[in-house]
Amino acid sequence: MPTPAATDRRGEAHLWLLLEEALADARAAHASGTRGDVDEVLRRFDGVVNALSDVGAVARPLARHIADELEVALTVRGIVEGRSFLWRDPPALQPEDRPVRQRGDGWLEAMIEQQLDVVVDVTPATHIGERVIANLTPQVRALRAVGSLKSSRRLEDLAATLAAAGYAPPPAAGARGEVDKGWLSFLEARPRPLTGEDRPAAAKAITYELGHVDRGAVTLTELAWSTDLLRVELTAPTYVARKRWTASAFDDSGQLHLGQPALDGGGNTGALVFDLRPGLRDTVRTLSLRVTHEATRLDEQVSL
Amino acid sequence: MDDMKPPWWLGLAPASGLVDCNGTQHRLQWSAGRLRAADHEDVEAEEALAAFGGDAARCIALVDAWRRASGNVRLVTLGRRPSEGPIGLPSDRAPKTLLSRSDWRGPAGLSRAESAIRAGFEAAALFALPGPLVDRLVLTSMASCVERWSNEAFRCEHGLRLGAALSARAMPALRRFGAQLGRDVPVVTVSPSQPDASPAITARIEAADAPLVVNAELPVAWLVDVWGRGISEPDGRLVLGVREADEAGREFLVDVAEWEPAGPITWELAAVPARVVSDDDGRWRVRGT
Repeated sequence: MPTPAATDRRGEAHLWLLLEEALADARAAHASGTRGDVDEVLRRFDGVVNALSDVGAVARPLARHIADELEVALTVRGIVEGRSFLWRDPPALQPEDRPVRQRGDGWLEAMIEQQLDVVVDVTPATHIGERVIANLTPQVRALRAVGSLKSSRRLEDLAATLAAAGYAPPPAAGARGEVDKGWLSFLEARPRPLTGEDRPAAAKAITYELGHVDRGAVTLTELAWSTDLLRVELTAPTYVARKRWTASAFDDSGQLHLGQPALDGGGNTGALVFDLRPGLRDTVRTLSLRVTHEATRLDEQVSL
Repeated sequence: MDDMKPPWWLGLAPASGLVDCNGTQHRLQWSAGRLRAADHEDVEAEEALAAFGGDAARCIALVDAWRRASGNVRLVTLGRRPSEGPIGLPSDRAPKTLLSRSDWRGPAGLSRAESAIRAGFEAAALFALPGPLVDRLVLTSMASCVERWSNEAFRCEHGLRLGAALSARAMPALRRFGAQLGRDVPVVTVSPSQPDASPAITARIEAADAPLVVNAELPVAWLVDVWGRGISEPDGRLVLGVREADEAGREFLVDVAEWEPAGPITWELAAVPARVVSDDDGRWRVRGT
């Protein structure tokens, strides 16, 4: 097992410094009597914990432990109340917990797409885009600090796209983001929310191995669709399927399709089902399918 | 110089608090770096009695818990930050029972899981003590960290945590020190210096329209010697470290920081000896450099 000194510990260093910032922010929010802002501080800290863990910049047990320490620091100040007093020793890390930093570009892309899927259900006039940018900024800052996101300007692109779709005010002069046509196509399509009643009208069974995640094969098994819905079914080894995934598709008409996992039973069956929206038009012949797990991204062109 | 360095607790006012000790209000007293159960005259006899099945006195259990917790690095993360009042849990969140010393030393001992649970109970009980005592407990832990800082394995394991904790405590004072150079609020980074290294602070203007950048390396001992005593900025002067003290802990010979030009856009630290004295109101004043 490598000694801690021999490993890249920028992720851990960032979290300790961020704990200090979060503590100061939470104290300020508490002093001004805005309980919601304290929750926001904790949510954003958790977001960074997940980001750095997902890209392997810090061992997940250690990252979670630092988040616990922030909560205890807030508890002994009466800033959060009614929670148990967590007093656990720092985790003894195993060799497999050693940080193995990966590129965070795929992770960020998936996070942005998840946010867009939420944004599109809200009226643009609420300017929810500002909140989305504020939520993602600490995570992008963290990934940049650990060298996982060197030159990406996707957050700036998101700000420009949200502004173009009316979900945020125009970015400040000098901001270098560019409108992403795919993201804009999704926001402008304003697909209606899917319900449990939505059923695909057509389907195509496929057996196609998309690639590997954690040494386990991920296989596309079926595509099914209607004009409102695009259902993507995958299988993965059960130990992989239990983890967090995202999926998106970009069709040959230039329309982006986003959505959330539709089934949460993957842990037992290895099945992963995503309901994306909007659905497909009859003219669509090919899809660029993207599946992301943590920092691993699998891309594949699929013919219908 | 280190031989003359005063003990870390010198200059810290005694602190005390009442606790419910098996139905009676008893006083816990902290002074000169130690916590004592002031209302228990024969601690050893009471512990022996508890070992034979008698009731363990809560005061004594708390003193024991304090001793076990005082080397815990996590306390440094939990402790007060600049301009913050006392911290702690409401007294009603203190666990009702604690293990006595004899329980800990029992022939079967405690499993790792039991030890962890007991440590949690003890930490909750200690954080439910009055704020000034919690503060002294955190300072005791900081002093323990300073003692172990020369150990490379310790630095490797806890250096990132302690660096962040040092940064949080020193940052406001360093920002004000940087602002003395007459530009807007500077960008400050703080890191702990290597064992036995002196403080080092530099300032640089990176670009005409960029803020001043201040890089500081401070000894971890700054946490207890300076910040813990509340002498980080007497009369607006940044104190870097303590050299000597009088026996009563009311006067310290310290180094204060001054800027020295090192080029057209850079400044370096000049450490200037000064005396810091507690006045009649308990405020620290600089008396001559």
